[in-house]
Amino acid sequence: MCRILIYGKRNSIKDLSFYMLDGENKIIKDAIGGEASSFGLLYEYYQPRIYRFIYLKVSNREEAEDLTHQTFLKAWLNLKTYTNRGYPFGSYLYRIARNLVIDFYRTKKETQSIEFVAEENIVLASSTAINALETKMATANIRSVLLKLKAEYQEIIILKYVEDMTNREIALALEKSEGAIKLMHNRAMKALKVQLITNNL
Amino acid sequence: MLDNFLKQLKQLQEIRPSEEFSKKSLRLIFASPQNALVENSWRTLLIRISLVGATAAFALLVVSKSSIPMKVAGLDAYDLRAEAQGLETNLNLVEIEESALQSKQVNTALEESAKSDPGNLNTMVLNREVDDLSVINNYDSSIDKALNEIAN
Repeated sequence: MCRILIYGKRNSIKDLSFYMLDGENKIIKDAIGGEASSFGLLYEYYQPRIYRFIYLKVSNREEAEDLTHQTFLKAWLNLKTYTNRGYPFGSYLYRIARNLVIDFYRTKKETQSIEFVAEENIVLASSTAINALETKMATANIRSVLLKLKAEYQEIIILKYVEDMTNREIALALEKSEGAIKLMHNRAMKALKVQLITNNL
Repeated sequence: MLDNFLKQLKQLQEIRPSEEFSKKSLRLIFASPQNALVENSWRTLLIRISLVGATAAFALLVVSKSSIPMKVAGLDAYDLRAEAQGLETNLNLVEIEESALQSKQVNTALEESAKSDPGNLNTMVLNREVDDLSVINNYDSSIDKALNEIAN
């Protein structure tokens, strides 16, 4: 399995404490050079994160899987034109995923409500049945609240509190300034409070 | 309430795609041919050429529509007039130079004739020339007589 490290002081790009693959820049370089196994490493590492991000924004597992596949396929197809600036490859993937989700909602006329999503569809990594059940229930509740927020508020909350990303990393992924992310985060928190009160959670 | 919700959000890290899906997806991805960099370069080149062409066309359009008349060397009326005037001036100068030269030559001849001795007009010389002519015209009558006798 891939070892991970905290990306920080040894790189010129500060505040990117986002977990990256050990030697990610070299892996990206090799992948661009045509080594499929290197792209495989990137896929293994980032795919669960991208899947979670998409899954929490769309209605069901099939759609999440389809969009996750499309995200990595797009990255693979355009890998030769990718410019590595030392940023996490994940931020590039988040951008693709985000655009795909936007297109998904743009083309889809009817969006399925969270209430209709079967909890059995949620695939978890938890080993024990009790934990799994609790997590499934929690997931259903969280999603019912999240999906009532604006799309950009959902993204900030998922990236900050599920993926533990810093404002800088979120800014890179959402193609916004850090200042804008701080502002949006405050607004997202206010909107979230309102939703929690409304839903008595 | 909010803190509890944020703690619950951490549990969502447990969400993962199924292994079956992951393997299948990766297999399909590797089966897809990547876009070559060359294609992209060609696209970029074509875009650049189109941009340069469009810019040139726009510039020509702006110039042709402009109120400032286009100035082409050799066809401009002002330039042609100036050139013609210059030619005239040059011709006049040549004429003046020629007439000056002629009058100078005339003056020189008159001066020379005034200074030198007019021998050709002297009466003594003329009389001598007349005498020479009369000497040539004189004939011997005895020769004529002898010649007549032989003839008879």
